[in-house]
Amino acid sequence: MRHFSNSHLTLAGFIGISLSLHGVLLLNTSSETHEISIPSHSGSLSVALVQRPNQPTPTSGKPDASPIEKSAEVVPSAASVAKGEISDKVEKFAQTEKPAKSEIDQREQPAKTDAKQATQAAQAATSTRASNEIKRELTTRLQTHFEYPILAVRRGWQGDVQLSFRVLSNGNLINIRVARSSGYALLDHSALEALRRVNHVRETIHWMHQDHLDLTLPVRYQLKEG
Amino acid sequence: MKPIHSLVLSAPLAMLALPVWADDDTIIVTATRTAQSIDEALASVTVITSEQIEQRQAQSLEQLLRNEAGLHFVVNGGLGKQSSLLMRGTSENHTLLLVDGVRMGSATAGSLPIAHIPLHEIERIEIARGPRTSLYGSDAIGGVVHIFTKASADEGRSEAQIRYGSYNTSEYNAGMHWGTRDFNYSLQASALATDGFDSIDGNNTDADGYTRNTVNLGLNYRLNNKGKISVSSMQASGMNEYDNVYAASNTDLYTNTYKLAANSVKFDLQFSETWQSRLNLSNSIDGYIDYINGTDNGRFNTERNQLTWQNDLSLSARTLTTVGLDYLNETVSSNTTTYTDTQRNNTALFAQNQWKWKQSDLLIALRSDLSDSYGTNTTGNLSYGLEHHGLRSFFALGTAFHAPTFNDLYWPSVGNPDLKPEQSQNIEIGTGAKGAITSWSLNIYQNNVTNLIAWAPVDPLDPAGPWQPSNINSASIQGIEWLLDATFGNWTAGFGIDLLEARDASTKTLLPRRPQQMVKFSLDGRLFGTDVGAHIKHVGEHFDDVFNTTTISAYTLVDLTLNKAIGKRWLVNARIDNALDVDYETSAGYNNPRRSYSIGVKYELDR
Repeated sequence: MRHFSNSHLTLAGFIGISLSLHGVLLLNTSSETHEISIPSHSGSLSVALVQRPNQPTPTSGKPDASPIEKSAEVVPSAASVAKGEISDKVEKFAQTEKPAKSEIDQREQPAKTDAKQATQAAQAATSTRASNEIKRELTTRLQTHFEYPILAVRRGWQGDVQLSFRVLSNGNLINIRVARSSGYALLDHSALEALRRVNHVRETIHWMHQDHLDLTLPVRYQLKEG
Repeated sequence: MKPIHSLVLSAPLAMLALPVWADDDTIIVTATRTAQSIDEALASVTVITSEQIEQRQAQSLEQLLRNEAGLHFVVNGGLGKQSSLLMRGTSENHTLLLVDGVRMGSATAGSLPIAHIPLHEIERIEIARGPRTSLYGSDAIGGVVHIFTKASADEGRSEAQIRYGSYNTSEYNAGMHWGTRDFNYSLQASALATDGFDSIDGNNTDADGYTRNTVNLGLNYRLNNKGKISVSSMQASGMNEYDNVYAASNTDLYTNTYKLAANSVKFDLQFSETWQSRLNLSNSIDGYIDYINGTDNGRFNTERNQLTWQNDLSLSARTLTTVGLDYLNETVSSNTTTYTDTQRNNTALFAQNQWKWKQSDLLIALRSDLSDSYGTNTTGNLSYGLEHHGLRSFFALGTAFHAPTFNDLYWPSVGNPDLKPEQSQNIEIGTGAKGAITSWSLNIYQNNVTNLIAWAPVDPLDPAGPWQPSNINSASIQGIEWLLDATFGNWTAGFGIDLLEARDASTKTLLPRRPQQMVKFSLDGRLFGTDVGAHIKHVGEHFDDVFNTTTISAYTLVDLTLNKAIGKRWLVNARIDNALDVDYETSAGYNNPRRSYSIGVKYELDR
């Protein structure tokens, strides 16, 4: 029963994310096209985006498995790289989701730069709105991995733990930390361990349009009267 | 109970409809609150909250708990009089009574201070039926009644109440609670006085009064999530007038004064994220001074000092490993009785492990007690709980023991220092289901108690000569508890049946004062903004003596309660005890309260 509804949820959730991401893409394409079409702007935007992987990268992750690291390697310095090359990288990296690409191709066939810019805009949006959606999807996906420790139930311990972590586009969860304690070390530990055990959410490969996402995830341990 | 993950079911739909989210994607991990003593998935447990205590307005543990499954009280006449709790057909000293983890009772007589436990100070009571010696040590044969006072609670409120009722019974209590979650302290005090009524007809015809004055202090200090220090102290003292069946003269006045104390300091330490350690240093006092016509007729005092070091290891969310060490020193004193030994020590090691799987639970517990007065005793529990199609069942095996009292072992010239502890083997099956409207449970148990200590004439042909105790009796107890609860809106109805067959294993006679049938019914709800309640208990006819010749008639008690809040801070409540005005006995010859009324007014801060 539970299995059924879970897979149903997953599908619905995936469609939901997919649709809303496309919505975001389309919205941004139409509203920001003229602004981004200024060449100098376009260049600096691309550079800014590609530079992201150069930000402090996780220490506890697996650098070899991460595509971000690969893209970072091909971008030695923002200034020395040709504009088009960077754009291509960005496009290649971002447009992993086929429907998104074909849709944009259909609408904006001649203006390839527009498509690139749209993707960039989408990436910017990903870190704001889409991150929430990914987070929501993660929430439902991770839910079943959390358990209430017997000892905490026995002692009547309740509380909110806030976990912070980074989702890589390959689906790996790294840098898992307790951002805010519940007041009970056992609950904090249990939440942390649960997320560490998950370690990898394969589906994120389809959702992520950028290098990584830093998220905080609140976990509430709550006893009900029964 | 396994954690139930409350999925946000509407999430995918909401996603399609609305692309902007509030940042509330919280993972909610829930579990059913359980008793601290034992998981409800593995035993028959009842938890009574301070709200329920407030609703029922009882003035003694007997009034409060007499409708609970498996419990039968014997009271020798009204408030404060000698009261015994016979849990699941076992003897009066086969229940372990704990106050904030502190062992209560007299080590000389083996009796529990059921009559003197104050109720306003109580935050929660856990009744765990069945043997629990493998966790707590001696006495937990029929079960454990664990009282948690408000001193141990992190939260509380300030309140004051006055109450007046039949038999010129007045009661005053006030409580205060200050501080934060990290540092708080509380103080409760109460005073009760009643004129009472004549306990035994024709045996000194005056009313037998009672007083009870109590103080409960608590202090909780949290150390940076690394631990907690809790200090709690419950004290009760007062005077009790009673009638003595063996009185030499009908004009003699029998009274006693009593003093109870349960003091403890607990250190909860977090050695690591998964290792929780609790060191409990406790002291308890149970003291009586008996008077005839105002003259000291004997003092009996029990003092216990106990050190318990319990370690809970949470090696995974699905296991709980407990290992601990328990040291108990019992010292008795008397000014009239020169016990051949006045002190004993018991050292115990205990370990238990609980496993939780998706639909089942397993608990294995072992404890070894080494006493310098009655040797080594090893007891254990094995419980398996299963959840299947909404049906929650458990199967439990347990052994337990009750230590001989100082009276049994060391009474001058007749005490028997070779006595062994009374022992029991209990087997139990429980099943039940919890629904939105109705819930029910059915428990069936068989408890064999051997080595029961009984006093008999040293020379069987000379009953007037000296008597001596020995481990001669054994009992066979079978019982069924069936409970059914239903909730309709603001109303809750409860129905319960207790069937019991407690017999002497050799003579096959029924054990005295163990009713074979008890039926209860309760109805609680709201009417015109007032909380009303009716609690009915029927006790079948049973015997008062071991020979099964003196009967105690069947009786039905109806208690009615009413609670009305006036504004945010005032509460008016009333109780009618024994509304049918039944003249009943729980112990042959002793009167019990007839229909009695009481009314109270309460003022609360921050209700």
